[in-house]
Amino acid sequence: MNNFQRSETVLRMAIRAAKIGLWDWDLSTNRVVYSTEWKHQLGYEDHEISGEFSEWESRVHPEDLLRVTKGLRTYLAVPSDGYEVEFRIRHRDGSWRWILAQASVMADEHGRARHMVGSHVDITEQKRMETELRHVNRALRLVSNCNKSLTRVSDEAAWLNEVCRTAVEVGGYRMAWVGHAEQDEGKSVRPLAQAGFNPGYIESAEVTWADDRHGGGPGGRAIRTGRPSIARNITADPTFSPWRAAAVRAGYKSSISLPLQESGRTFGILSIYAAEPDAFDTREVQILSELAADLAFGRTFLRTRDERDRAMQALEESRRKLEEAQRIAHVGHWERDLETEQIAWSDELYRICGLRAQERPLRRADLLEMIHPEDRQKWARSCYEAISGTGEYDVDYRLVRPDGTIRVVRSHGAVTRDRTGRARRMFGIAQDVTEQREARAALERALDEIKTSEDRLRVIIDTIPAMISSNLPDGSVDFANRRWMEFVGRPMEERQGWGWERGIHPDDLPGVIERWRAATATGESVEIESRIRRADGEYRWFLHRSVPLRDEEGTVIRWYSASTDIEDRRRAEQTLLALTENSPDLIARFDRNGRYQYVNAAIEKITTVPAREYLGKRLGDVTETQRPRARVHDLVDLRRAIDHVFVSGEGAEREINISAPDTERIFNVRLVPERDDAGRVASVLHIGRDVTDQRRAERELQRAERLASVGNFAAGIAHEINNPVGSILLSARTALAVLRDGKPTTMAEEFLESIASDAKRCGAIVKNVLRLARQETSERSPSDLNGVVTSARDHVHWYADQSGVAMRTELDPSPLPVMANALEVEQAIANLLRNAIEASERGGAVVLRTEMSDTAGTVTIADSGRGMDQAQLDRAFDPFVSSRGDKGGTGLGLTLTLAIISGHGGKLDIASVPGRGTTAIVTVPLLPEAPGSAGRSTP
Amino acid sequence: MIKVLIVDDQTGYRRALAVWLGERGFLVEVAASADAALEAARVFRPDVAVVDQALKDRMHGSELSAALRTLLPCCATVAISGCLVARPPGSERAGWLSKPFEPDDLVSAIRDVLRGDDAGVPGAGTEQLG
Repeated sequence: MNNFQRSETVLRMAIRAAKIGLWDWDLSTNRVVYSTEWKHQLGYEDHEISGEFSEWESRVHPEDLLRVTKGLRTYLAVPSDGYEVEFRIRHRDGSWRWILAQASVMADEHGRARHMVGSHVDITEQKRMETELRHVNRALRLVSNCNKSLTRVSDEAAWLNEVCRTAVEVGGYRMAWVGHAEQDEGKSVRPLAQAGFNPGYIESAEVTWADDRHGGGPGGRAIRTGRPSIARNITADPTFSPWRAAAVRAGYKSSISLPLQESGRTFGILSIYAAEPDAFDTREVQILSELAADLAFGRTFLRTRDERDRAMQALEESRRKLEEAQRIAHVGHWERDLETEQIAWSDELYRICGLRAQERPLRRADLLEMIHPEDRQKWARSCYEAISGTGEYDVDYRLVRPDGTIRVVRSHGAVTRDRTGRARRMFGIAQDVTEQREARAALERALDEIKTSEDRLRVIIDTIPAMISSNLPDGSVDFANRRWMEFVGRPMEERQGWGWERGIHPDDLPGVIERWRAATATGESVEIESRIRRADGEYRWFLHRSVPLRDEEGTVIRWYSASTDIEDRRRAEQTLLALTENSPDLIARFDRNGRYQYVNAAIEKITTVPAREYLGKRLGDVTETQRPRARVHDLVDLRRAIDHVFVSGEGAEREINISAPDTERIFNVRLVPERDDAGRVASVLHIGRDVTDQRRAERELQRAERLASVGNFAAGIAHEINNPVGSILLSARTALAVLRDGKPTTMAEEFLESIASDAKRCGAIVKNVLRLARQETSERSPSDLNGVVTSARDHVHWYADQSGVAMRTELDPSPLPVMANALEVEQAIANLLRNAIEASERGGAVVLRTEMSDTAGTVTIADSGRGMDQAQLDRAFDPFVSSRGDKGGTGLGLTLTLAIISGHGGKLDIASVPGRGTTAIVTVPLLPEAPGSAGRSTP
Repeated sequence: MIKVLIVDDQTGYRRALAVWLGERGFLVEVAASADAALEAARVFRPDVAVVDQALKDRMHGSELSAALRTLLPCCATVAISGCLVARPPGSERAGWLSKPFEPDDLVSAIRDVLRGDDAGVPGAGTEQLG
């Protein structure tokens, strides 16, 4: 073999060993010669391959053919150094093989390309490895990025979104989403996160994990099986039919669903969609499964982290609260390591010491230095005792702060020991009790002060000029002041338990005990008067005022009594009583109800009724069986007057007549209001003085005066008579002259009328004078005052009409029986009416009214005319004072009226206001009713 | 003609006096009150005023007489009274008649005072109630 042959042989063997196929394409014939190796590469024997170029073309992958032929033509047009192309070609078994073809052009002597010769290497395995590597790298990058992002995300939702986003952006997938397997009836898969191109695909997908059509896809399968599920070719995968159309529209060619698991349970899926079919090879699935596991872990991690964070927050919160509580209560806790002598203090303890919280570490020596020098030994001893014996630690000590202020600290603690019984640690709490101590000190000072003031009070009680004592509810004395003991002449030491009842006058004791029992039974304040024996044996009167002191429940726990010496008052009272008793005046006292409280001996004597019969009864209610007796209307009037004093608060004065067998006495009774502390009339004092002699003297005097006034009276008569007589004379002369002169007789008649009128007036005057002078009782008979008044009104009616004055009559509906000379009373009332009419203006009115009171009938004549002033009123009853002038008054009208009314035992009161009118009130005693009839009876 | 002013508050008496004096040839004017009398005096300017002493008026008869004399110094006055009291002092230039009296006694009294003879009617003012 020559060198060439040898070389060719070596090459041939090398080519075979390297599995390199060779080919030679004759461009002129368009036929190709293939080496055996070439044919083997594609699974063919030598004879099974023809040299037709078109046959080769038919074997090339359709996707690569255009690119390859185009490259060939380009190369052949402008041949360069070498031709190289990668393409797929069909193997005999139908699979595609990646081929790397390299070739060169062989030219003829004219430089034209005759042959194209090249090699053919199967690079399928290499290609697969490359793709796989690329996929793995992508998946690894994916996992790595995701895990990195786990430290960034704040919560689970963000984490899931981040995983999806990374899958799309880093992994180069078209879309990724995370679905949660709901435990609902339809076993739906709820999307939790999504990233990438998703034109409404997920929303309308209605993926389930049920064993039906919608659960038959990769997602449903992954959840059910807990294993990754792949749709390698969405366009061909029958399980993908429900979503195929949408997936094709979205450009998804393959997909994988990876189960998400926690504690071996599948709770959801991570679904990833690729734009190319068959994108998920074994290795990639493995990696993506890891991603899914990481995703599930991340989710769990985030959840746990959140929970831990919350727990930490809660812990922090409670720690803060504890600190706050300690700060408020000024309580801190501490722990002391007995081996290292390091002391750990809470913040508040630092503050109690006047330091910043945790300002510096503390050792035992540091603490000892802060403790007040006087308390150091005490503190050390407490520690020692706790460690060596009791194990309990409880000590108060003072701390001196850096600024020099002192705080009082109370520290409690306990000792812990190891198994050998050796003390290892002490721990406990310490509290700043400075304020508490100060408050207690203040309280003690206050108590001291109270005690001092109590002492002071006792001194006061012992020195005031009153006798003070206190009794327990059983009556026993538990305190009596100095005055008491001095008065009764006992030493102060006996003030407690001393029986004050022994000092009470024996005569007063039963009464005192009775009052005291009543008071303790009701628990009401009480005032008792009794005599107490003085040290020298003399009894003096005391007023004991006792008030109960009650506890919160109202139970009497003690009685306080003040006893006042009322001996002098008592004496004065007794003197007064003696005076009152022995007074000839009729003295009585009436209480608020008008009942007798007291009557003196004079009343007993004159009425011959014992005093006790009066007490509690009203005036007039006492049955006075025997003479003497007061006149009925006097008593009724007096009783009313007493009532009025209580109401008005003003005193009153009355005169009453009392008839005794041998004499008739007149008493002037003064009613005096007696007031209580509040100023109310509590009682009325009745003082009746015998004025019989006085009145008699007055009457004598009046008679003398009357005699003295006879001269004046006569002059008055003369004047009254002379005027009409003068008029008569003049008129008579004038009439005569008229007649004599032959003048008209009418003129004479006028004067003759005047004469007649004047003569009548003279007669009336004389008659009245005679009656006045006689002053003798006229004949009387029972009459009805109403009837009398009516007659009087009829007499003057013509006059009222003439004067233009209206008369209004208001008669009491019941008869008013009086014992009277009807004609006289009628004249008296008529006189008053005439006066009233005369005083009235034209158009005025006169009121005539009768009324019945208990014992009297009253007639009121009221006008609203010109009235009288006081001076006129004073002279109203004088004879011959007439205001009527030429209207025909005799000047004796009122004088006579008064005489008539007085003669009937009645009264005439006149009240008048100038310009406002006059009111005259006639009071006539009523006739006592016949026996047997109800109503007015003798009291 | 002698002008006489009659002052009396009793209508009948006043009228009788006026008729009587008129019949006796006096020129008569009447007044029922003191004020009316003073008013009439200014206009009528009487020679004599006959004044009832018991006037129920703001002035007593004697006061009115004095007032009239002040107003008309030439005017004489005759007082008539029903009272049995002494002739009041200071009435020397005045006549004085006690009721009852004859009407002609008044005529005499008027003439007397105009003459300057101020003596009263005999018996009047001296009579006492026995």
